[in-house]
Amino acid sequence: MQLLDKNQIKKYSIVLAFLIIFLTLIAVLSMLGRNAKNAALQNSAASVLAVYEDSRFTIMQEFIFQQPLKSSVRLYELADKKHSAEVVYAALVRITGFSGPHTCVLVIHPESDIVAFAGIAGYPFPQHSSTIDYGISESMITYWKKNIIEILRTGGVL
Amino acid sequence: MKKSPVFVFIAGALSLLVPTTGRFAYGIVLVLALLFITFFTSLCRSLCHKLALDEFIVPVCLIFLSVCTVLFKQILMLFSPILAFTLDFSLYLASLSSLILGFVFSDYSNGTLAFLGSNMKHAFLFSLFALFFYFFRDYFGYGTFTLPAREGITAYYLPSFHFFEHSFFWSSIPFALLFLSLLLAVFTLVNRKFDIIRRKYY
Repeated sequence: MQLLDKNQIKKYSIVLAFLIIFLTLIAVLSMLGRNAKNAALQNSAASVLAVYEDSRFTIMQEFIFQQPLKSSVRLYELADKKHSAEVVYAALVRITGFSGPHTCVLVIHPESDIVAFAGIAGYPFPQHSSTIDYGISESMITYWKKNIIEILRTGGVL
Repeated sequence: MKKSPVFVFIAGALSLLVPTTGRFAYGIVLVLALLFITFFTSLCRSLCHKLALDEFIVPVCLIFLSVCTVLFKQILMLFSPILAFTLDFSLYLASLSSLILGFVFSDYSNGTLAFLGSNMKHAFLFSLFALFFYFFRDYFGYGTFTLPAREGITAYYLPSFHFFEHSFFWSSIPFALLFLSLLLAVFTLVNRKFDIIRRKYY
């Protein structure tokens, strides 16, 4: 087997050093921005809920899944002004419809298996009340209603 | 086999312009991603060439391509987490488009500066086309002009009319495909006419 000479090792080290610098930068940015990212995503969901059903729901805290289930789902525990005893969740879900991906806010009532569409996170207000205006059909919402309940069961929430 | 620039352009446009949401704000982010990834991956190719690591150029550049995309996503996440959350896989689609691969593995015979200059020039020209395309997708689909913001997107409502009120067709991916093919047909026609004039007078 032919061994690498000093010159070759030097060349490979330079490329490797660049790669390590980039990877370190990614790790540092990821750690620095983690809290700000979580807070910003929660604020986006909160601003949609603030104009949904007369501000009936307010976010209490983010639900942290024990195992990483899906990178495209964030879950929040809600306080319901009308039924304070009922446990309600809001999910931030990326749904790809006919018009591309949108980050939707879904309100989940696990006791009655009801999942309602609240709005699109990060979009200006007032928003369209019908999901089809954003290229998301009723069948896609129905699919996500089933899917989100399944995710909550797998994640040990229900 | 001869590589046709038109086909490379179409394949690049299909992955970068069509599958995303038709908002100008998303267009700006994707264009920045394209410029960022092209610049750093071209630098990586130059470095490999300078170090005479020709046999490793393809794997090293592909690794850098992925790393640059993740790095861009992290930077975007610092600026606007909701935009990064929404665009997520679209950024990877952009980085793996034949457009960037075409830039990175293009001819390197004229040196680093010429290589970098040529790649950035082509990426910049494509970016202008992409912004033009996204502007009209935003206008036709939603009647707005949008800009990226920390809380998502900021919309400015433009005077508009819709033939089909409450129809998602104008903001949909099928319309984006139709619009892209229409624009490409017009550009090809104009280019052909210019070619005829060029051949006639020069």
